[in-house]
Amino acid sequence: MDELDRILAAADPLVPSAGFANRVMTAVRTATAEEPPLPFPWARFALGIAACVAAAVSIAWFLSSVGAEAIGEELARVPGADAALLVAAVSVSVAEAFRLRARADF
Amino acid sequence: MTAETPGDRDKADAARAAAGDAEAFARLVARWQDRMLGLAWRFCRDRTMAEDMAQDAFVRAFRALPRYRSEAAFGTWLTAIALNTYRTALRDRPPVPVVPLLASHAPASAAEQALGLERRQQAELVRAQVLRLPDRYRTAMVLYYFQEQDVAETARILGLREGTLKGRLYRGRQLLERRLRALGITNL
Repeated sequence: MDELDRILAAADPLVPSAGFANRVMTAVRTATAEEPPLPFPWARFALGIAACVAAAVSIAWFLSSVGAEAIGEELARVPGADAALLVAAVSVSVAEAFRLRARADF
Repeated sequence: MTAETPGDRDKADAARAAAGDAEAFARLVARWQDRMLGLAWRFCRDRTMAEDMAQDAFVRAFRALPRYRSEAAFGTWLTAIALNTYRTALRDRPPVPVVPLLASHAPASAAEQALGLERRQQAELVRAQVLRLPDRYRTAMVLYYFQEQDVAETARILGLREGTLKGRLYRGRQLLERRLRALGITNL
């Protein structure tokens, strides 16, 4: 063992201060008395995923049975439909941006 | 009839504590407080911080007791929890300045005092430089010497292969020696 080993291995004990063990046990009891963290809501999460899958399947089935082109043609007959859809999309986007910002500020 | 070893007592108390027996955990704290505090002290060289970190380690261990598998030694398991706790606590904090030793600890004669003081200051400087090493080297070196240079046990606690640990110890030591030489310490 060289000098560096000797220095690093040297026992340099620190005696616990009076009451250290009692403070640890108090902290343990306090920690166990706290409410446990909320578990992740797996049941609701699974229901949400199932609902999303069902919606996606329904939309896919609807589009395949009616035909996306037919929907486009029907919309093209309505005067001002393009502009209305554009305004609706912008409005939803702006509202969502405000909502996210409000949540971040909160 | 076989005698009950300290390891057996730890495992029995750990099982009782996991079942909610606070007194059993108090016995574990009483048996392990010196070791946990000693390890924390080696990482921060600050009494208040060391006690806070050791206390936090015990609280985390108590919460984790239901996941303790008695195939592993309780001390290995507890030290691994303490190590993670200390590393997390120290991650964003700069190393604490080393406090000089008290003059009352100095040897009697003036010559011995001068020599002893110089050596102890050098030793403190070396320890402070270890705490300034990158985390992977610092942790390996502090734990290795704390475990009385037991490579196998140190590797088990760190969850590393022995070869990986030896590599870190070697590189950490090289880096430490370079830094010490840069500080003018060449007699080690």
